[in-house]
Amino acid sequence: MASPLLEIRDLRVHFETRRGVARAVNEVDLTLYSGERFGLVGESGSGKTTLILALLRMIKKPGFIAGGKALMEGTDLLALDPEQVRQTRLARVAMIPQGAMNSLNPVLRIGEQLALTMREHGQPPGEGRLAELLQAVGLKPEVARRYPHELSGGMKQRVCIAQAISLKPRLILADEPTSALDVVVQRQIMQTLRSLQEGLDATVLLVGHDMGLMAQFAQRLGIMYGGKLVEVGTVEQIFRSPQHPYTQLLIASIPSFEKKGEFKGIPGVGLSLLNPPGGCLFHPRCPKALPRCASQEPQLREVAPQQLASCLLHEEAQA
Amino acid sequence: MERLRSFLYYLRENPKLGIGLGMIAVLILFGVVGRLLVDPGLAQPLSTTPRQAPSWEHLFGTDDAGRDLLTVMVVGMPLTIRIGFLAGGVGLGLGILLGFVSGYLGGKIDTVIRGTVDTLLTVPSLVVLISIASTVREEISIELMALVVASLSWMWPTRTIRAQVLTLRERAYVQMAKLNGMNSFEIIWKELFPNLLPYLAASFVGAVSWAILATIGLEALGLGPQNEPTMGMTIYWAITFSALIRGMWWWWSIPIAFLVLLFVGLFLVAAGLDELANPKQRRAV
Amino acid sequence: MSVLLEARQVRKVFHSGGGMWGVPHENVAVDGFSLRLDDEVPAFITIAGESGSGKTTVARLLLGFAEPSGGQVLYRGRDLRELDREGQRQFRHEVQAIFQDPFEVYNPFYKVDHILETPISRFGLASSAAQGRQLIVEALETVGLRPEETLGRYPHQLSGGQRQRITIARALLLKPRLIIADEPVSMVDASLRATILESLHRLHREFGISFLYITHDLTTAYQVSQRLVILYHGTVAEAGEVEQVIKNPKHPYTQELIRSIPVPDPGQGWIEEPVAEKEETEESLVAAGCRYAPRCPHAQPRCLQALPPLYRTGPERAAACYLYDSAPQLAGEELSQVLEQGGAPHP
Repeated sequence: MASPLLEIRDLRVHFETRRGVARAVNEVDLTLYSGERFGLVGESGSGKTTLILALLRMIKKPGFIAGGKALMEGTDLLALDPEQVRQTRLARVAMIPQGAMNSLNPVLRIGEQLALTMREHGQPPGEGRLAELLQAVGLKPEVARRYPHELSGGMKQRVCIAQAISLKPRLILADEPTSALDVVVQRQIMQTLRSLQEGLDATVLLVGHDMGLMAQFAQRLGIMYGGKLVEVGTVEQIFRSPQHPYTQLLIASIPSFEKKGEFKGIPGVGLSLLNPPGGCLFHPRCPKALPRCASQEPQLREVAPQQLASCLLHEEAQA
Repeated sequence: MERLRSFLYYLRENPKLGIGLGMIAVLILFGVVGRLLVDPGLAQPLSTTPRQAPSWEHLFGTDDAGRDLLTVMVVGMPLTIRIGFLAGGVGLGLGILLGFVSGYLGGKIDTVIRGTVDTLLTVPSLVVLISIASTVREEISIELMALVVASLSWMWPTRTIRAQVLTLRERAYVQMAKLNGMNSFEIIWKELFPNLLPYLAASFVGAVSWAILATIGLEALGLGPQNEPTMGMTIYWAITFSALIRGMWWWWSIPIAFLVLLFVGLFLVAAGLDELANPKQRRAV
Repeated sequence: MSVLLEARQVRKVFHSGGGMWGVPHENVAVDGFSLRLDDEVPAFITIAGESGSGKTTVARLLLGFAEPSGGQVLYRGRDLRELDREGQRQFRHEVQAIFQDPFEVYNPFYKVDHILETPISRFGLASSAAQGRQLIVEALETVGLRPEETLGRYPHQLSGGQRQRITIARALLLKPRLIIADEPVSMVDASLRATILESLHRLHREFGISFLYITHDLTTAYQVSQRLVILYHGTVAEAGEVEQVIKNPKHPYTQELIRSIPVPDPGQGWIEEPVAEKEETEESLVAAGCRYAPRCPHAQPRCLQALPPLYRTGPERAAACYLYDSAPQLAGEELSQVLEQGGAPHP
């Protein structure tokens, strides 16, 4: 049984706007285990990207971390001072951002760029190490001498992955790293990421909304809606026996080559973080809503071995 | 009414714009209200005791020729502002016309306009202005002054507006307009122009600032309307009559102070409008 | 058969570089592309491809937003470039579009009503303001929106899904013969995609509107369309009836594409497969031969010499690959033969 690597407790990230406070991440409890691949799924406004930005302490005004802890190997990531944060980034917690291809410095060669960040963390690489790093992500060592504009989108993304693993971090946060890439390149990159992750025994938190990709890559999934974590489980549990109505509708809406002409969307409009409904955030759109869902907030609790869901229907059943 | 209220609300978010507009409003009011309280005749030479330091009788003192400087400010400030707005307005008007046409239509028209603009921009404007001003020196009036300055103030707006139009030209809503069968002029007027309003306002302020500065420059060299008590002319007289050496500090410092206020106000308005024009601000939740 | 819109051997080349320092660079975005859209029988055809395949360029050419470097785009037999004002007006009335970004299509200065009112006034769809309003209300309701929740708002006050549906309502107002939908759901949340695709499908079924659906997502293409055209670097790799092409792909590129689609079923799919050896280097542009040859596991010497023609591997499908050279050849313009269906639209 793997040990917990990151324990997030009651994480709250709020945004202060003219029209009120938006709870982008709302009392989230989540545990990530060492060496696992965890997928965080949600639509726009669900808070999934805000969550990882909070872990990296990259939340900008008018957003702020309103509370909570994120314990990783004894340290609370949310309580570190700026210098400690700088040291933690890349060395212990690395990120592969969305559109990572645009985060490479266009005037530096690839090798220089990788070496620069490693030097800043006190681990200047030799040529051998750079070659090793590039090969690990499936690139030829000659790429170190090239400039970013000479590489294709897929190659640039691999460079970003190389940078992310350069200091052997324990946790890798990947924010939709392949959304801008072609399906074929996506497959290759995700396969590479997986073998790297296994080699390093690192934990990968993959944020995204492509359920197909999650099914292929992740071992466990967390589903977020409106800033709250509504369900957590193994990838088999989520796909074969989802317990939360939102998850169920989400799974049903995934298009596949088995269902021609069937269109099952989720009715209603996405919720507004500034004007959230009372009680359960999903109840206005939920086909199984009970009257008290409008006033009572459900808690995340275990509904099957290793599977958690936040829905009053289960509290009813257990009562 | 709704738009006015949300505008005032917005000023709270954008203090630069609010303060800037406030400062300019105060200066304009100073001229307007002041007119009602003083006798404009006192702004002419030989109207009162000369060389008086500021006192209760002459709040800003008097100059060598016997002008009451408070009256000069009250009369002259609006004149200077008027020249600025006139020249800035003409310059911007021309800039809008040429910039939109050049930016949206492209092709040969664009090449011609752009070439002309770029060429004229390399001409040192002050030299040209001095040449023009010294030629028409005898009959120069406020309006002529404005026109002279305007003749060289349209190039920069043309260039920047053209650049803005280029960024908007390929936007999806322009394609939508084409799908609706709109022709180029309709698209420019109905789709592009409204979106550039904040930017055009900022350009206007920039053009006005430049125009006022150019005017003062010309006037301080003595090339302005000799009989009008504008800011620049006052400074010219102060220089000519060695006010600095003679210790008549009120003669040169007060116009300068007013000008500083004017420019700071214009700058804040431009900065505030810049913020308004920034699309990220407009999309905020 | 009367033809509504036709692309005839269309070629589009983009030039970049040149000038004082750069080497002039030619990018052939689309080459030898032909397609015929019939006026009488509504069709739902997908043009699928990855980025760089030329699919967006094809859409722009068909909408008249770009001019072909070679070949022609014809509306009812007349070249788009030669249409007079009345012809252009008719063209715009009958051929409409839905775009990818549900935010950018709105002019931020106006309320969303603007996008609905403009076509009514420009095409004279209503004789009075009240009638126009009625048309708008009906169109919104047809796409599943409530007028009181959407009209009078600014674009940023509505969600992406709502905005996209309004653009569909707009297209519906004009009752066009053909709607070209360029990635209509790729920027919309997953849960709303099905709803929006269903709206499009309904418009096709109930109003007999033809659709040209441009996408990179084969799964949604499978859900909505009857025919599929796969583009690779500006040329047609494979085309035909969607069920056949997806379930039994012939062209090596199509095969790789379908193999790479992440299957939403844990335990099935590619993740367990070993990583492919061939790393994708920058695509060296092959001037003459098959564009896919550099990556193709079945490549033969002749693949690099001349572009393979379309081979009709079945009554309703064709693939441009020498592997099938025993099948009868299909000239480019005849591509439409495998794209026509012999009956009513798919239910």
